Amino acid sequence: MSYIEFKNINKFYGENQVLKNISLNVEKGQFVTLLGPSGCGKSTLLRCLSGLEEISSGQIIMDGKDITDLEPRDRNIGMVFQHYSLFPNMTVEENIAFGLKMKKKSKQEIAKKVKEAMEMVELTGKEKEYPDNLSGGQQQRVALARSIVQEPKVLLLDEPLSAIDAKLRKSLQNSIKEVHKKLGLTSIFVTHDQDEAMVMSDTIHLFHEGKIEQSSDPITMYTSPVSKFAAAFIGNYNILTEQEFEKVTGRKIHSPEGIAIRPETLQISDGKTPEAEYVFEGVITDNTPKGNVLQYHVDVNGIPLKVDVVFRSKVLFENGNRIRISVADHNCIRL
Amino acid sequence: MHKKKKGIGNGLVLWIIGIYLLFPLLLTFLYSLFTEWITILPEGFSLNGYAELFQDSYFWQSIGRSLLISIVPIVLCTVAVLLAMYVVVVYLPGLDKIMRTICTIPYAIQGVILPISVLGLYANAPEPFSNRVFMLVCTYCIVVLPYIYQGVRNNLNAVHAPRLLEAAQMLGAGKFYAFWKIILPNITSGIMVCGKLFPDRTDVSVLSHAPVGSACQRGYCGPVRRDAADFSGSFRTAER
Repeated sequence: MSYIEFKNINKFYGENQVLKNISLNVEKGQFVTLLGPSGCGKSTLLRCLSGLEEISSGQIIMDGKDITDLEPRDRNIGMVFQHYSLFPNMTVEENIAFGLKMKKKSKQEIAKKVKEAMEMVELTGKEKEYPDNLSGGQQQRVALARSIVQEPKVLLLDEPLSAIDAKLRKSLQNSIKEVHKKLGLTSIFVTHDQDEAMVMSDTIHLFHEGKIEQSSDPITMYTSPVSKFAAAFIGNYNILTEQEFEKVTGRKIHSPEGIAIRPETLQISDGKTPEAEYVFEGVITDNTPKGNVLQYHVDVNGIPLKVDVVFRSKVLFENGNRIRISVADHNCIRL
Repeated sequence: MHKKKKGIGNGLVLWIIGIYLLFPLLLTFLYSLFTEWITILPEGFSLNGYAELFQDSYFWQSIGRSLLISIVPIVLCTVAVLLAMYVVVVYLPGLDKIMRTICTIPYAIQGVILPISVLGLYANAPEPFSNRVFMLVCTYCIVVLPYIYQGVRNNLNAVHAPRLLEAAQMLGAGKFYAFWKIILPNITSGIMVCGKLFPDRTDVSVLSHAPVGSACQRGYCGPVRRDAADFSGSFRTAER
């Protein structure tokens, strides 16, 4: 039996059904990510687990107990919100101690646990500060400390990093992972950022229009998308119809739902004929540096393709250059 | 972290504004201490005026009434609006639009119309409804309602009350506890400002003068009678 079980969860807002018969299991100690675009139902499912939203039908089991109708305070679940939701009239210390006070813990125990939590999120020295005096990253650390100090059965993280700049996000990703490992918490993380999901998760559940599109570990999710949506959302794939594929490669393959090719699996050469199942020519129309990767936009018989190469000190090809592209058959995923 | 240095300019500006605001009050006080002020310096220092005033029982009665009438409606209205907004924010967010409509109706009622309507309705009514002070407190409650409501609502929005409530719930607090212990302390200063803004409404003086004015000046604050002379006087005051 799994630690958390969602059984046939449906959720309606009026006529609008936002969760469509969702069933999924979470194992104890796992770091699970609910990934998907805005409005796909991932945050709603998280809020249903927290008790902040009621489900329309279905059942939620946690640690062998039916928690479907329990109040949020009776579920022993910690939650970190996107907008921190720190109490502005309380200091950092008071914010973190709030949950323990609600549980009527002794003053000594509160002081000890608050100190430990602050050390864990590297906020020692900020005890007497008010949230308004802290940066976004520090505020989110306080929110994290406030949740973990209660020793919850499950930690929910509802897009906690989306309001934070890229550099700090990386550092907070590490903090969250460290806390997860150290405490052995079962954590459920909601994000719309596929890179973040890849970095953080043991398991990813990809949501699309209120349903789970695909559930797997990050590598399988990236290399073997099961649908057009998964391919487009996860890997920034080139998705071609059968006709487009034939136009590009000159060869037919059978895949009525389309063929997905990751940009980094397309090999570029300017002269030699590369060894691969499919070799074709195209013209570079544009290039976009993306950190350590350079993405070429190539026109192949009127079909636009994205090709990623490791970025080097200078641009290898210029717009208008004619190039040869090759791709192996196993990298052409039939959807 | 380095603290921002407070510039001398900021302090200077505050001092100038403070002096500008206090200057008339200070001069009025000084003027009241002297019997004559025709030349540059005043003459005839005397505290007799204050001695007489403080011995006059009507003065203390009027101070008491003024405090009662200015504080009680704001407190009553604030408590009522807060309770209503608690229900709206926590349980029935859909009712916010209806509440906004109801609470802003008094904006449309002119200060002249309101006292005449109240007098017309409650004159000759049994106590306490015809009592002038009771009537005025209740009428003020209506006038102050849009200000308090708007203040409470804006402040609740500013602190993102639903988010804070959810966070508190996840930490084990009940909804009511969270509202009064977390939301309320964060919006108190905003509500105070709204309460202080209310007496600035110009029609408030008309409102108070019509039902209470001349009669209370004579020390009578009992029931309003339809056939009483001050009733027609109130109408005249209001019409003016």
